[in-house]
Amino acid sequence: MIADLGYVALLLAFVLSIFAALAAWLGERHRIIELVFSARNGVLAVAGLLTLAVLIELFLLLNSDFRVMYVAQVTNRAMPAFFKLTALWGGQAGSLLFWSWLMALFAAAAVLSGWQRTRILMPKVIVVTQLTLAFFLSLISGVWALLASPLEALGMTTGAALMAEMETLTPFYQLAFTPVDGNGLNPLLRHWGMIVHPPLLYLGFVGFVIPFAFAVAALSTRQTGDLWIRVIRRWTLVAWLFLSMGLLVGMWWAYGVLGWGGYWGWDPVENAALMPWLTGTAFLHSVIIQERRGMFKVWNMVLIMITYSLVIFGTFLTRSGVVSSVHAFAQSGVGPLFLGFVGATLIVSVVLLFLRLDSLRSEHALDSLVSREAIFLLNNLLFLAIFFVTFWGTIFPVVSELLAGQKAIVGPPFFNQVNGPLFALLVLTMGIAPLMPWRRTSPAKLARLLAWPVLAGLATTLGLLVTPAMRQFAVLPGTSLRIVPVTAFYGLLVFTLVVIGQEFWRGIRTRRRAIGETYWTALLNLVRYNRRRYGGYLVHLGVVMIALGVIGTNFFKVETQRNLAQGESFTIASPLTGTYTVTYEGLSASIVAEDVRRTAAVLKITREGQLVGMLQPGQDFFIAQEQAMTTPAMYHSLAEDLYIILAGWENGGATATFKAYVEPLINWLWIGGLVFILGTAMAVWPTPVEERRIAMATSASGRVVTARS
Amino acid sequence: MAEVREETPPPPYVAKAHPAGRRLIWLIVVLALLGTLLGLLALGLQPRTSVTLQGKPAPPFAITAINGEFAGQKFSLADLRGHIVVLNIWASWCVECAREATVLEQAWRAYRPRGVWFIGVDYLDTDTAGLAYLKRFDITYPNGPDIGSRIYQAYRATGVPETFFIDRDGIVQHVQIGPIGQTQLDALLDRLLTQGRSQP
Amino acid sequence: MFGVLRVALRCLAFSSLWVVLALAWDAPGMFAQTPSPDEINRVAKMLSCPTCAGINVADCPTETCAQWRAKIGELLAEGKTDQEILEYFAARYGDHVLQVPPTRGFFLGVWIVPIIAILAGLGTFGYLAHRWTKRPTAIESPAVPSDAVEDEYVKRVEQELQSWQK
Repeated sequence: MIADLGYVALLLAFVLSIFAALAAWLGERHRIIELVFSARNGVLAVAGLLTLAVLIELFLLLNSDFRVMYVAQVTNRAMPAFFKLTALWGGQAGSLLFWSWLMALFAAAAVLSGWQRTRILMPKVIVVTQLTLAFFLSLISGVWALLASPLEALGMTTGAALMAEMETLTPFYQLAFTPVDGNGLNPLLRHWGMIVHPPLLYLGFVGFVIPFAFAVAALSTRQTGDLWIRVIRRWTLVAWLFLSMGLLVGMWWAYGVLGWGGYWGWDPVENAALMPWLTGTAFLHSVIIQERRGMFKVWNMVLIMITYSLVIFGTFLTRSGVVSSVHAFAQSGVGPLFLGFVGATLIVSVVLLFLRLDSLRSEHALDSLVSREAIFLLNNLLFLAIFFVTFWGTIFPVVSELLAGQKAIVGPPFFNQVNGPLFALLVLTMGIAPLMPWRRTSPAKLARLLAWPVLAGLATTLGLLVTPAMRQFAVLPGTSLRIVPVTAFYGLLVFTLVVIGQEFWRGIRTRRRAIGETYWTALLNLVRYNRRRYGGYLVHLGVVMIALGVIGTNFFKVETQRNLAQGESFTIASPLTGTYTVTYEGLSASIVAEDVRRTAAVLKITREGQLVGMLQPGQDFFIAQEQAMTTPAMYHSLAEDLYIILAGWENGGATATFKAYVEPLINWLWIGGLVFILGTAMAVWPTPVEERRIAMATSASGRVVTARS
Repeated sequence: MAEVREETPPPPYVAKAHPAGRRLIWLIVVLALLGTLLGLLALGLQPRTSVTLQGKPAPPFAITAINGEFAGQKFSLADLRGHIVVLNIWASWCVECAREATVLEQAWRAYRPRGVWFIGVDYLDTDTAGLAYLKRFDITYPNGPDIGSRIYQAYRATGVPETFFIDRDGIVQHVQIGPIGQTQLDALLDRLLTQGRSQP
Repeated sequence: MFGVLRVALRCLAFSSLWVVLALAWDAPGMFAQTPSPDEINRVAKMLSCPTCAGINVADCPTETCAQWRAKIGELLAEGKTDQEILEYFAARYGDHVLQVPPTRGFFLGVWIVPIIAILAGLGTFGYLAHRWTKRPTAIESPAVPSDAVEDEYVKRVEQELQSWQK
């Protein structure tokens, strides 16, 4: 019964979202203000209805109502209540509902917050957000199944079968019988990283719909001046913040749960999330130039359109099964529908952009190649290059199979080799950019600004080249040639650090000189009164720290695999600290949860003879799914992690096989991630100056409104 | 829609807008590129599973047998034309395959005199593991490794085991996904055997 | 300056030493005894598990991968080089078991297309920069005074100061 109610709410939301889009469109076209208001109320109602639908779905999950197919697919009785709730995004139908709900909330927030200040853009914002929402809702409200019989009548049996199947994709679809128990959630997803990761990622994805909606609205109403760019910068930052957090938590989860000692595998699913992040980051940078210099307007439009398309495309990639070898999804109707939607979005965007090229003329010229504008352009080029490499590597298997009939896999070595140097160049532009004045400068002045950072960077590189540790590294197999790029990269990081430090220092010194503040007050006020700029620097600082970890784990990782009898031990040498000795003391068994049993090995860890602690890597056995999962054990320090997994055991634990990794500097990646998030949050936070600018931009566009009416 | 734009005269350094014709060409180029990409992905979504082979000519295959009396002999679809061929794709690490192994072997012994050929294709296996499997189930019909996974790909298999029933004219009459039972196997073979040679 | 040179030379010396050592190691018959798991994993890392998307053979827990690792061990014991082993697997099971497609035929596209795209991007960048900087910029580009660089930033901070101190 209650499931029916949920379904009705879903269906109503679908109908209302289409109504809102139509009403907004017609209301603007024919200047009927009541229709536009009605559309706004529609947007709010959709958000309310979807909230109700989500609450009902949660209720069903919590009550183990297995008559509802989705509930039976993703939960079972033995699961803890908490995981039953998070199963909302554990499967296809539920996660689409969750996605739609977040999208509806974002749309409502955008409409409410922009109603006064950006009224002129609102109708089109409603059209774009509600059409996107309607598409997602159409997937889970079973409406595509209506197409099945017409297609059948036309003789398109495959299409008809696909569409008929869509009926069961509803999260409220009810089975004809009630199963005794459900299948339960994939054990991999029963980890808090996986609980937080999808919502963050979805928030990021959904968030990018709003800037796109504003961009389309600005284009179609020709409001391509200051207003839209200021409004969407904040929305983009919010989306970007969530997407960054989603990516970081995803990496953290992969590292802590998947048990292969890595955090990023260039998997299609990961790439799908990374690609919009890359273009979104490019946009966040180039938009600064439009704000300050009125340049790159077309480019910014293109970037925001690409980012939105990539969000949809990424969802398509991960749900259609077109690239991964999981054939299960390939037959579902979701793939073709998503592809159709991506196609329609791209075509409409491109045509609209071409129709409006005239209103996107640059207000200024590029004065010099030695200027911040030029560096930003280069930075954009690099982001796009990394995006393209990632995109190409992800779809190459499809291209190869279709065009050449040859199956292929494009694995991490390709991405690392091609993207690695590009990322290094990106760090270089990140370091130089703050030093570059707008418009132009003379080489002599640039040299003066660059002197200290460059010296520091060079000193680091040279210093590292002669340190014994690096020399040892250079004689490891296959590493001798890498020592130059590795040390150069470290030099680059120090260069960037010094630049950032210099920026803070110069600001503090100026404040002290002008009003005689103490160092700490000066620093605090500096940041407080320009959160955007210093938040940005903090983000850059985070990137430097992340890079530190990435280089450490990519170039200095040590690993070994050993089979030990009880009482035996092995050693693994760290490049940064001493040599670890790992002694196998025996197996232990424990009950983790009602349906989970753990077998763990007890290991004694010493470093250079000193006891470091005990580690218990193990394997969790999930009874319901008959699936085992490795649970790595780690010894953390700022210098490195010792990461051990139990690969297997024989004769009741008389002997066991271990894989051990030393992951140098990995924790800087997570610390850097926190700094990164903090910096972004700081930049997002509204400041009075920003508010005033938006108000000014609004009054500027207000003139147009009066002129039009 | 007549609109009043916030128009200031363009400063002299701003380049003139592209002539409409050139812009149209660019639009077409961009749309064509996007269309190609989307078309490719759409093709990638086409179902390319073994079931779609039903009723179509079987793709050619060739194996070199590694077991029993046939060890070292080559078998190809062309050589077996005129015979009913049961092509079974399996692997030693596949649990489901083991369930049908005896059924297949017994059928081979029963139907061999009537001109039915069983061919085993060992997918993604090492020779040692493959031979051990053949020995364990005492499989005597010709089995050989799927070199380069070519047969698996040509037959668009979606996993193991999968069994293809090819009639005397080289047409795939039935595709069995997953293990097959004895009654079903007998029924299929009897049906194929009663079909005349001339009947399509 | 000489320090750099010395280090560079030393690097070069190390690397050439390694070429010699590598050749010595790769010589057939060196692995008379059973190879260690680490040696097997080194090769297994360059192969991808065909039954479980996205995982390399060293890290994958399935039976297939265990068999493949054993096979790698056999081949290593026979004295095959890493490259020969990879070629064996590619020929036996298809090119898609390699982590990166072999550099021939259509597969070259994996590498060539991004390189072309990046070059095209750089070309466009250069062309646009050239065209834009050549435009007359007399209207709003007065000569930058000599100390403007340092000052611009300081000015910005001072402006902020004023706007906040009322």
